[in-house]
Amino acid sequence: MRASLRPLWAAFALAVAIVLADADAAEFPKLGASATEVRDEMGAPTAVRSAPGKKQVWEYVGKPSPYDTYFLLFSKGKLTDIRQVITDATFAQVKAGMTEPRIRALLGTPWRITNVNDDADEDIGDVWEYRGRDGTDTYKFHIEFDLHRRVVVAAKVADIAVRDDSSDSAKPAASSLPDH
Amino acid sequence: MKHHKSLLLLSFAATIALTLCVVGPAGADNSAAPPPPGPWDKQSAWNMELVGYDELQGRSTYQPLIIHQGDREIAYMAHHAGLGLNPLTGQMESNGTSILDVTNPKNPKYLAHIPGPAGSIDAGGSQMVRVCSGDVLPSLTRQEAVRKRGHWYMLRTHGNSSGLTNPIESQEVYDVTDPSNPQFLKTIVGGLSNTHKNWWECDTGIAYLVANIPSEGWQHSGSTQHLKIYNLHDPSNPQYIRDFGLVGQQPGATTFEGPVNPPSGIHGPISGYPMKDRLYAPYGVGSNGVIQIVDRKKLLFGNPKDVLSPQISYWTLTPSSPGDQGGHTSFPIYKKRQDLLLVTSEEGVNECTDSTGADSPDHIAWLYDITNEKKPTQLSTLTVPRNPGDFCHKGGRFGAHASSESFYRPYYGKLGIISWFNAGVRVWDIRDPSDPVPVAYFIPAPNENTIANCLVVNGNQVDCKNAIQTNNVELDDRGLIYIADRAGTGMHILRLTGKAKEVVSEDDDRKDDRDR
Repeated sequence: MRASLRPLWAAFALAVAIVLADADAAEFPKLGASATEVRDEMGAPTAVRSAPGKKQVWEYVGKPSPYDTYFLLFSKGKLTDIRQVITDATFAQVKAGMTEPRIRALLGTPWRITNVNDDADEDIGDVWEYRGRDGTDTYKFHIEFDLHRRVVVAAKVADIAVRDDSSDSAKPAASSLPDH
Repeated sequence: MKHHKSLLLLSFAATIALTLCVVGPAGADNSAAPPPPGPWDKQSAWNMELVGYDELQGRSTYQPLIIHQGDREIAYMAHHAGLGLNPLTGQMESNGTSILDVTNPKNPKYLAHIPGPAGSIDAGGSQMVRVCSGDVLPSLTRQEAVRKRGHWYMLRTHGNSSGLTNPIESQEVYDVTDPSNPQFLKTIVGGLSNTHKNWWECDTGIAYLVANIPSEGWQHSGSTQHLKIYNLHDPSNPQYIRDFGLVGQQPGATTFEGPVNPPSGIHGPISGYPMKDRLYAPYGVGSNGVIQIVDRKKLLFGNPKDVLSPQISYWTLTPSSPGDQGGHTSFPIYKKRQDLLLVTSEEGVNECTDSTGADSPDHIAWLYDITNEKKPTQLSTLTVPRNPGDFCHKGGRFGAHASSESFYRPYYGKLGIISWFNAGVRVWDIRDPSDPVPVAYFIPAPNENTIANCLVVNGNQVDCKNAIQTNNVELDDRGLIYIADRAGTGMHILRLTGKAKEVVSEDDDRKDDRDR
């Protein structure tokens, strides 16, 4: 529930380990694979962006788990790097004043975007959210922009645990509800 | 002395017992204070219970609308701007309108999501929706009646381009005869900014659209929107009638009404027709509030340039209330001997704290006696205490937002039902409008879809919390209560229990007073 902007280096080390483990488990294409081979194996990317040095970044959002976003880096048509970017280390690079394209370059396409501005006198910009996971606990990177599309809020917010008990379930199950 | 004391105690006990016998347990319970809610991360309910739920694809939702459509109950859920995955199509879709079959409220079925505008997210969303039957909308010709027979039409706002130089919002109509396969029918009017809470009279087709076209010269403070009135009896062939607002908003105005010049924009009107030829218009949303009673006949058939003649009266909200209150919703309640107006303001700050860190008075609701339309009088306020519940530290907004707008007869004049952001939905017994009594509440639990709300003071981020934000509430024709969450927590379908159910079940002496 509580948010923190400070980098957690211990968590970072753990996150790196998880990333590596996940990368292995996901059985991504081998480095050096062609773009065609990657597409055949992984399907179409969520988004494709250009990167410095005539490189290209393919984003796979929510794959293989809903809490992952992988960047696959191509240089001269060959896969040169695979990174899971939803990590505390990446998030620590998010600073107030950053633009939307910079955030997208760091964390990829958001899982969800919301703008609850319903009146002209409200100073409410977009909220971008990224789903992530620390072991068994899940969280969201929550980033708010102002009307100039610059970061004003960045927080790591733990998800609410979903309970099985229907009487106080965080996500009610209709089947367990009384008859109408 | 001891003997006297015993007699005194006996006499006191007898008095209490006699009082209880006279008042009865129901009376005593009905005036009981609401029990404290449970922990912030758990659902809390008092005289309400959960019947069904849908997560609405995690989309932030403004308004629920439930229509008895043929032999089904269909929920039209209007979303704030955003972008999310639609599992029905496998596509990321701009937030628009979700349509669900809630005939079995225990098991809502997602039928369709009509995306909002593509492009910039903050220009997206479709926050308002109204639905009319082609069999009820009047027709001018037999051919028109035949063409509309059996059809259902959905009017919605399209986009939220506030602040853009060239506004791109519109009001549009879909044919939702098959709610699983909605068909776009017509853009009523485009090039709009600040679309918001429309009202559509199905009996006449008159639609009071909330919007603005900056180039037309209307003037507003705060929310820059007024009324654009159309006749949509035939949604394929919209007929423009006029624009309308408070004196001072029209182009070229030299005088103004209300606390600010130009007057605050309208939020959303409610028509009393066919019960009464009146329109009730709240201005200001969450500040500089003004409520206006309008003669509907003069509005529709008078000089379209004249904004004064249709006005019967107006009054400001701020002088009699804490802080700066606005006009958000104004719902008429007609009784045989008394006409009432249930008015809400909209809370706008997180955690009861303004942008400087100062305490911000809660936004509240009121009941007005409008029997004498020229001299409305405030009867009571409807408030929710900050404690128990520690609502000011629970996250997000705490305060009033919107009342239900359904004229559902069994509840009409008996219950006031208002969404209260992080305090969920609150229900009052308003049979005595001078003394509204809280009788029920439901506060959903946040879930993994809940969007965090962050408190920012003096430009510095203080805290972010997963708080539910019950945005709007509406009824279906079975008495079920639907709440929608602006923090993406989903749709909860509720029913009354206990004392709240007794209030609407009682065949009390005042029944005749409500029938007219």
